[in-house]
Amino acid sequence: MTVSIEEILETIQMVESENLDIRTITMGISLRDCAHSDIKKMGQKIYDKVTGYARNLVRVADELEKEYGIPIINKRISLTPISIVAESCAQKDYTYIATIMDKAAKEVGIDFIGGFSALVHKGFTAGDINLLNSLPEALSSTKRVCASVNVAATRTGINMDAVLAMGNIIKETAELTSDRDGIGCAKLVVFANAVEDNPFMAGAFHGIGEPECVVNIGISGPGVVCTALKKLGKNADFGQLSETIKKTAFKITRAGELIGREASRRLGVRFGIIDLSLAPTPAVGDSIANILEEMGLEKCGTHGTTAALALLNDAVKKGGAMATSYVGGLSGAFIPVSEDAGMISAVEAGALDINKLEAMTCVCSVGLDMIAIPGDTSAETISAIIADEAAIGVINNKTTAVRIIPAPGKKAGDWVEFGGLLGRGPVMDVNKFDCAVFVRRGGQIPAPINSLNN
Amino acid sequence: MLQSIVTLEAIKRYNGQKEINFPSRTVVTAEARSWAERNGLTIKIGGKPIGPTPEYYRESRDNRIVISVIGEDRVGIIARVSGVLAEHNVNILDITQTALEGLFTMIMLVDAGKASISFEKLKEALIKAGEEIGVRVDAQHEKVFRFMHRI
Repeated sequence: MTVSIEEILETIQMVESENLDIRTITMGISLRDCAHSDIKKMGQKIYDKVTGYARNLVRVADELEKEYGIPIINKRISLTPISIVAESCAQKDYTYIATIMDKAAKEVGIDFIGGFSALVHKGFTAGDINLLNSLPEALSSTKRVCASVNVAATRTGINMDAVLAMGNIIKETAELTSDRDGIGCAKLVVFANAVEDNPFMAGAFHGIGEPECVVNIGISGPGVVCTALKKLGKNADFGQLSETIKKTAFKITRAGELIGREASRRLGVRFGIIDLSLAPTPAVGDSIANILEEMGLEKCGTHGTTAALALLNDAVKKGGAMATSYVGGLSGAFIPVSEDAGMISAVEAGALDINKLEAMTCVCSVGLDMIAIPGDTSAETISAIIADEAAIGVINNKTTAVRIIPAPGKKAGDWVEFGGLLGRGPVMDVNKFDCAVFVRRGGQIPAPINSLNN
Repeated sequence: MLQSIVTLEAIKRYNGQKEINFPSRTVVTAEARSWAERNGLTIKIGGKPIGPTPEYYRESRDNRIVISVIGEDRVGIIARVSGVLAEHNVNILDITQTALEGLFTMIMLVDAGKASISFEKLKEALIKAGEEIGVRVDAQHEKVFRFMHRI
């Protein structure tokens, strides 16, 4: 045989008991030719284009899953930021476009469609403002639409007006979805240094430098890495830890590369990138926190967690980069709280708080992700949390993001339930001291100097 | 007008044609060339045929399938599985077996190039046969293992 029985059994075991899967096949579709002054006509063009290109997405993914025996969890679509496409509409309310996106997603059988987005890191156009104004209504009246707003970039600094506006928008969105713990906010990401080819929701959009249509792949496999580390035992040194993670990441990424190439061929669409992110799910054994704990931390969040995460993140990239021709997207370990059983358990035990999570985002993608905070948190405090995270991204030349849910009526220690992949989790406390004067100053925090970098 | 770039989306507009000749300064992307090759469209640039599509973009015509059987050892497992294969004209290339944590494990490498049914149907038939004799049977393209474990 060209492959050994051990290799075959290893792959089977990875799938059967360690949750190896392809997390997402995301089709990026350009909507730049859909602009129209009449929003209804534009909506029709968008609907036709999306359902045309993505018609076979789910079928092809299911075929590949059967033939290669690797589960493909999500099939998704990312679109050109709607603020750009809709800018020439006479209408100011873009909620209608969100409902069209929702309808198109339902038609092709996918659960999330991204791109209800705006890029405002250096200021606003009329279309950007219309999109921002439409966000609360769009997110509360649709199920599948995901939104993102880029408020900062290393080359421009931080648009603090946008940051303050996002604090208010998040509050408003939470209130409009108060019957479901503020789930609207779980579909809204505030970025610094947003990337154009991210396949992961909720932050995926089809960037303006991207081709007409492309398929991007998001890999997964925290459980596989965790099991590999478990086999190493307590006496392995850091070199061995890193080596093992690299080898494992290589194998996981190769599975993604194969699926990506085949999906691209069968869909007749260009293959874009593989996102080398270890993405957890709420399933037991599919946790990033458990990997860090396997390295020798009693609970994720204790001292040493940042170092452990840095090692993990770097080794995944080193192993993964060799396994694929094109790396892109966010490519770093995700640390969403409500989507990771180990993170939830660490918060419950009192080991992990929002401050440690912020520190962890310095060494991995993607930021403060899926964190529920008390419902009475002020818009200004949320804005300040966004500003802190954006500063980390801008100074360190990396993508950071905030996806935070001020759960209406809930206080620290209560639970929120979003269901499905969005998971459930405890409400986390935020700092009680006031920051309103700071975030209300307005204007732009200037772009940082990049040569004196200490 | 200059036709500087021909992308995958652009080449699809020539679907149904046998040959297309672009002006000499045209760039045709690898994806577009690959699509043309698969759809029987010959591309020429300035009257000269373009080179072959890079291997990376070529369609895989891989008919080798790995069948894995895991379960309690008993009489007739190989007979049952190979019966299904013979019925559908699938050729067995290699068989190995081992005990994994006390379980009987058999791996078969087969060539389904001349199979009388689709991969999907074959897989269903194998899984059903496995269920009848109480073992877990799965079938996957061999390529996935080569991709994951070999550089």
